[in-house]
Amino acid sequence: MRLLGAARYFARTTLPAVAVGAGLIGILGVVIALAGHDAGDALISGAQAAFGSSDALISATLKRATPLMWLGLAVAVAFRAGVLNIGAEGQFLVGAVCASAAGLYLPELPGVGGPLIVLAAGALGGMAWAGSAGWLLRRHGVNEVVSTLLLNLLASQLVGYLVRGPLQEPSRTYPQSSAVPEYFRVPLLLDGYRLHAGFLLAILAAGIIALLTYRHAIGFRWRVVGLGPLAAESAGLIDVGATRVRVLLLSGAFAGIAGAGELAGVTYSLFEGLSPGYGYTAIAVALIARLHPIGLLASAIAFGALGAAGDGMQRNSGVPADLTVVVSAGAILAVLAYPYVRARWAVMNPATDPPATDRAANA
Amino acid sequence: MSAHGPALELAGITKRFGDTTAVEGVDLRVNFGAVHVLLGENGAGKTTLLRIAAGLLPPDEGRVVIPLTSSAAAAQPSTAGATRISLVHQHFSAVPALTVAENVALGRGGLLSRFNPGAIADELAALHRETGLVLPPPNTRVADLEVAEQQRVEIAKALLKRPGILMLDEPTSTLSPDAGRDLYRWLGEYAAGGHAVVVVTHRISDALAFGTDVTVLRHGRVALRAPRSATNERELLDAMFGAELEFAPDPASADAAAEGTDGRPVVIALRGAGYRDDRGVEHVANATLDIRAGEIVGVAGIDRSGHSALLRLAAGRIRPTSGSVVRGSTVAFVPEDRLRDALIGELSLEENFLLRGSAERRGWVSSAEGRAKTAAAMSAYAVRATDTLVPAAELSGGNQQRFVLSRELADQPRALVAEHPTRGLDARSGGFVRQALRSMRERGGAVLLYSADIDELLAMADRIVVCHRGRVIAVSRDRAAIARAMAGTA
Repeated sequence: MRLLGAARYFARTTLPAVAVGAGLIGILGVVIALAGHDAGDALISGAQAAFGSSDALISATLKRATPLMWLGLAVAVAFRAGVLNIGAEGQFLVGAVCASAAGLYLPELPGVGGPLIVLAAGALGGMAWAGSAGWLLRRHGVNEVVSTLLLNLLASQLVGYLVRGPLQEPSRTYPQSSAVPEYFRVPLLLDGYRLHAGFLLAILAAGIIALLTYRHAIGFRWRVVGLGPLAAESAGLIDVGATRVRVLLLSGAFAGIAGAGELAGVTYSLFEGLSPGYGYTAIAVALIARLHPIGLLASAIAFGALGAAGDGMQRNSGVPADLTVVVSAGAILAVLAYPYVRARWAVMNPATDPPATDRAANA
Repeated sequence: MSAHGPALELAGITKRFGDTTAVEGVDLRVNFGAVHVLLGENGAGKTTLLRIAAGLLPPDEGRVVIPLTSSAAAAQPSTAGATRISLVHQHFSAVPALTVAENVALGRGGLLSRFNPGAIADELAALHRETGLVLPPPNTRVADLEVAEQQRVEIAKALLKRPGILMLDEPTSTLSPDAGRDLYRWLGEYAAGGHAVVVVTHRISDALAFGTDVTVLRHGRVALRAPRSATNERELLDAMFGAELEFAPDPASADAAAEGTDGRPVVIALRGAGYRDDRGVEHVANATLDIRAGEIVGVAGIDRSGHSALLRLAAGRIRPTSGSVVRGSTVAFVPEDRLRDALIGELSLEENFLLRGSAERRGWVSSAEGRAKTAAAMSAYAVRATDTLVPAAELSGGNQQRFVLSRELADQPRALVAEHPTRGLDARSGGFVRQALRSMRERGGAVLLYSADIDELLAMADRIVVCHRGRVIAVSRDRAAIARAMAGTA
């Protein structure tokens, strides 16, 4: 019984991501062939780059999955409450900026974990960035989709300015910051592999968020505010506006931690290309998992593998890594079409029960 | 070419949702020239059958036949051979952010057709002249309309399609009695002109006064099928409810409470309370009203008279922008629009039960405890559902309302504000709700009740106040006095 329950749980949360992934690999093959490359050769070198060795799996796929997990959580938490935070990218960058500044300027405090300081700085930065959108929403009714999206542009300009100005490395040769000192770096999990502790923390955070969402009064309020704000206000006496702002702050904190982890666990220094659009990919990560915190861990790994495969194909087969963007786009389209297709299916096959709708995932 | 040929035939229709059989083996024949009334209590399967007939829901078994050539089709070149079916839903589909005219224009014309508000205003004016349907100004936003006005916009949208078959789901549930009569009168003329009309209702009086043919559904099956001329009230009542009629129409028996409640403690006190919304529109001005333990205070008022803001002030759902509202306890609230303000359709009954006061809720949500509480409250209020995990949206209207009451009254609150709680309910469910309010009063609870039905207020309330343009006026319990105050001619 319990086993059956676990199997169902897996089917509901993880299987959709796996299925979508498999379909998209087929699409990727077609796209590569259309671009005039040898699809078989490219896919094999891609697969090798993503899964071919423990180094590929850990130092490429899981390393890339780590920020996507945190960012996916950021997106899922916000979307669940009906807050369409499109600004995970910007919050990620500001988180990285704050982590870099903290690592470079704060003194070492014996007895306090340097990585914790850096991650906390990142969380605060992401929170502040998201909070400004929250303030605009609450005070002036500015739609959060617009404000968070525009704040992304602002954040990338901020990084561009800082790495050529206040945070530039002392020789003033490269547009990047100095590496943060050893004390502040997030430790690697395994010797010889580039996977930092943020990976495990993300899994922990996802577990906590899953528990909160489905078992705790706090997460119940998130869901209620997302599904029926008027009923939440009238029947639940919930302050919908305040709840949304709080959720946006939490979302920003997660995105900021993603940025801080990337900086203090992978690159150690700040530069403009720190994120290859992780914050946008994370929207697909969260939506494919239908906002489920555990499911999105799997879809984050799938997208991490896709990124690693793209790099591998470019290195070994000369196929532009950008072609994998087609696959990401296809994934997003598939997710957006899903509720519609399901509704059509219910109409065409009346024998099955009417589908439960998930408004938060469609929003 | 007869004006009375069949417009629509349903044969052996069966529809199941999960374990529940909504409709079973139903035959229905609707003729041109007739107003066909589909009668039944809440959950009898009326709406399901209507949706199947309109092609919105496929049946599990049986056939829907819509004869292609018809007198209406021949008479109307625009329908070009096919009989057009137009369905007016009980719940509204207008886009709140758009104006009435924009909503009417939606889904019309091609990609390049121009939106011409003037032409639509003219059309609506013509429709008004033709049908007597009172419509709000075409340039008002639907979000600013009260429930009854929104429903009239829905009806107007369907009528403007000039359907061969017009179907209406509980069309009069929010209209005033006069507007309801006007609508039915128009429906009769419209049908006589060679169209078919199907009306779903739970009001026997409507069927008797305005129907041509009557079909009664009971528990998803046809309980009675007869021309209006061949049936009577007794027969329809028996067909709708079987022999178990528990709640007869209420006798006006509130006199027992007329002994005076002045000495009892005030539970909700409004002191010069006023409310202006964010855009500065004044809904309530300087309202002073005491609601005491052990009494039901009735509120009457036409659309947009401010009663909905008054109720929300009393319930603490909005804060007064002037004056004060003092509440001696938390106030249970039953809003008029259940599915928007009281329930979340996607969530299970259990979760909807937890919704009440969830801003204050802390800690882990124990599902075993929540399940037991929900189940207990549901059985106390006779909510029919397979279990507590059913999404709220799947219950019928009467069951939803009983569920909301069961939740709001579960922890025996001292005060209840109820906004037209019998809206859209059949006689039995309505009686159940009224009984719940009365026992609340007998327990010493304070009740503020709004109803669009003056008779209901007279039957239930110890005192009656009328809202008119945001002012609260105390009136005697007298029909004529209430009507005058509502119209502002007192």
